[in-house]
Amino acid sequence: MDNLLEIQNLSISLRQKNSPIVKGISFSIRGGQVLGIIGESGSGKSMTCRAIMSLLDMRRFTISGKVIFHEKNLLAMPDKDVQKLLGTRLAMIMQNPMTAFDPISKIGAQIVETLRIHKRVSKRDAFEIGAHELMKIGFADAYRVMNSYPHELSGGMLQRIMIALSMILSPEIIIADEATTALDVHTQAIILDEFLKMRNSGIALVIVTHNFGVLAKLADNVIVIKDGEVVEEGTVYQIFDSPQHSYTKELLNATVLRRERIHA
Amino acid sequence: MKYLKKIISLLAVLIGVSILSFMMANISTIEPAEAIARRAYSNPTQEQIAKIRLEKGLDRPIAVQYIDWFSSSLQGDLGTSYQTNQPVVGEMADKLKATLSLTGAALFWVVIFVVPLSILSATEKNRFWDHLIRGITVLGISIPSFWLGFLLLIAFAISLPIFKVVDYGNINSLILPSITLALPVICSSVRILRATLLKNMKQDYVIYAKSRGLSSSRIMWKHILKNSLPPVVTIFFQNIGMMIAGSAIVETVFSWPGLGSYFVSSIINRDLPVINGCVLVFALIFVLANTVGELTNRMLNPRMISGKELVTIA
Amino acid sequence: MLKKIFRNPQAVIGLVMILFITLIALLASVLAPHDPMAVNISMKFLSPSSEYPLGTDQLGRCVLSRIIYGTRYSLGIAIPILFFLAVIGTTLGTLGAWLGGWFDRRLTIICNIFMAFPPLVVVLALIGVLGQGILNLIVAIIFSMWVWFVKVIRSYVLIEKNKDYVVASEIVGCNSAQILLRHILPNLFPVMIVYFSTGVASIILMISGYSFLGLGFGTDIPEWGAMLNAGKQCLYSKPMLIVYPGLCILFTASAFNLFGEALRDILSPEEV
Repeated sequence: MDNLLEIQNLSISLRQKNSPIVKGISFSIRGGQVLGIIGESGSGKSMTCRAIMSLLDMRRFTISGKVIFHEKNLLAMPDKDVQKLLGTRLAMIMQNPMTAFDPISKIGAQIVETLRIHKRVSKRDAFEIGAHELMKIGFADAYRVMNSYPHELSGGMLQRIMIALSMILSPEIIIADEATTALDVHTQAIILDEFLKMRNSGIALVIVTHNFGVLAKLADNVIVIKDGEVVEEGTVYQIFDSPQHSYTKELLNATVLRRERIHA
Repeated sequence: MKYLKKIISLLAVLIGVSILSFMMANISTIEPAEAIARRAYSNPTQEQIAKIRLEKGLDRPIAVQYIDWFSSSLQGDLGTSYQTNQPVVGEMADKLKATLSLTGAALFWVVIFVVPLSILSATEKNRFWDHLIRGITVLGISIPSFWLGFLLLIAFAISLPIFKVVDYGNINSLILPSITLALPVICSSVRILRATLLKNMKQDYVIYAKSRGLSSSRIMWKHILKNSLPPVVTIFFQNIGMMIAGSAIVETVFSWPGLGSYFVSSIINRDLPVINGCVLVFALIFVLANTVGELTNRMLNPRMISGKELVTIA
Repeated sequence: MLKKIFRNPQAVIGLVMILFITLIALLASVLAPHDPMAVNISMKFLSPSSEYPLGTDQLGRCVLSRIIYGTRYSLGIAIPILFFLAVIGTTLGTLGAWLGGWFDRRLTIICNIFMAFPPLVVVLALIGVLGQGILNLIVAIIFSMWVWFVKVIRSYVLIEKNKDYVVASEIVGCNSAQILLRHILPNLFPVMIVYFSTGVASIILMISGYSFLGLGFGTDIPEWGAMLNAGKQCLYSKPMLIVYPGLCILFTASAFNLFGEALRDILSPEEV
């Protein structure tokens, strides 16, 4: 199978200080696969994700390299074309669900807006589709949720709404940037289940985390990032059983789950 | 029930205001009876002054005078002008109309300029348009409005006879004075809105919205702007109050027959009933404008609508 | 902090302008070519020349000299007013925020009543009561503005009071006076400077505005607002008599606003 998404030599640095944040990262992902990206805070993981989705402010950052999606370089595409892909072919789930939504718009309005930007549907139909997706993901009171403001809902609920919203237009890749970090353990388990369902439905996932347990449960392949560079990559078994790089070993040692191996 | 408390405190403030204004206007260096007498006769004798004092009830204790004035005010009678011997309410109503039309025109300029300029300045931060707008707005809040008025008159009424220097009653006459009144307000509002926009542009929801394919302009106009409005709304209504109450200077420059210049002349002439009436009306409008501003902000903020803060359902 | 100020071009420009005006005010007697009050009817309405660089006004007085001396009136009145407002505002505002309770409640009620009056109205009414004159104008301005200063400083202290370091200081055993004087107020100093700086600009505009309405000074005093008031008689024939004083007011108010706003930007850093 061909690569669905290929990152070639991605480098990001701050314009003002000319200091490199990401130095020549390359990796790829195939359809239906789960790629885990692990590294500590500040290693450049989030930056990479945002660069892939063309979300970085070009005035603040210089970006070089290529992000090849379906044989087209996203970094070289005009904004309008990229916007057509975001939300539809590529979707993202953010770290902090409490701040991810516009505080003065209702959830339903924000879901409807996303739908109507990409598809020709009436407001009423879009609302129904949104409610339906929420029900699919487990909200029994989907209509009440649609009519709620973000601050009226808990973090776990908002995270699940983000997941529903990311799948609503059937993307090929979903990038989850530390999607479980801001949640309590119980809610994390629920979210991870959702990710498993996603994987099983054939969506490719990029899971960014600093938690090995998450990788153990979900990932097929893993890349380890330190200071903006890929220091190790391999399948999840390789990384867990025989880590090569000293940094990977350090990270694993710091994790309680070192001995656990999950065979799917 | 919070609203009842609010209304009561508002009433308390208004009563306090009326007492204060009455006291201020009546502790005068020149005794009002004497002032009236001087207007009627060139060299009034003590008897004539005493007679006037009796007629106008100025010999009664202040508290009695106040209660009398207050109860008449509630019935809509603010007394008679010493100068013109016309009922104050009638004269003020005409002048108020003039001031309101001026303020309304100024608000028109404010509304059409503030939002676009702020958005332009914020999105072009630290580039040409931002520097230009920031430069102009600093000048705009530093410029004396009477000077601006005269400059506009010199430029557009004297050098280029587009407008008349003294004019009232038609749309043309509104243009120069309303621009003069509006400019400082536009400039300070732009500075505030720009700052709030910049703060909101950095929020997470902006990035998440972009990741869903929303365009930058849509995010700005539909989401960032609405989130940035509250402080501007507060200032907007405060400015309405300031403009109505502070119109004196602009009205003087353009010879505009409004409440502000009426107030100024009443002070020069020690026309007590007019002073009392104007102070009361100005304070009332000011308080009203601020209250409407507060209420509007509450309505805009959904956290206030649901009444409870951050209630989590399940 | 000082280094940041000097690196910010807007702040430097503002400071330079302020220094410039202050110098002129201090050296006015040396810089002015003529006596600003010297009336000479035969010399009225002269055009600019080497003798009278900006010409003369309707009573034959040298315009440039009057402009130069005008700095003394604007600065000399605005800054003391600000000083009083700062002292009253800081004292009452801090006490209100720190003590809370009945004192704060009474203070807030009084402030709300006073804030119902637009400052212009208060000043005009007070002048009407006290009569015209510089001293009365100063008192009137202070009377109309003190509540605003109290409210703003009170809100600053309230925010600061809730910060962690204050709680820590209390735990360690510092008494109220120490916390206030050694920690809270010094920490608030920069934001207060911002408020005061822009406040000076507002007061300068106010003073000239009221003078323009004829409330502050007589027309012989070389105060910019009063000069504008006098100049409006000759709007058609000699518009420059209006332009010069207005330009000075603009310059001076801009100086303080530029500095204040630049300082505000420095304090709440806007990352690029």
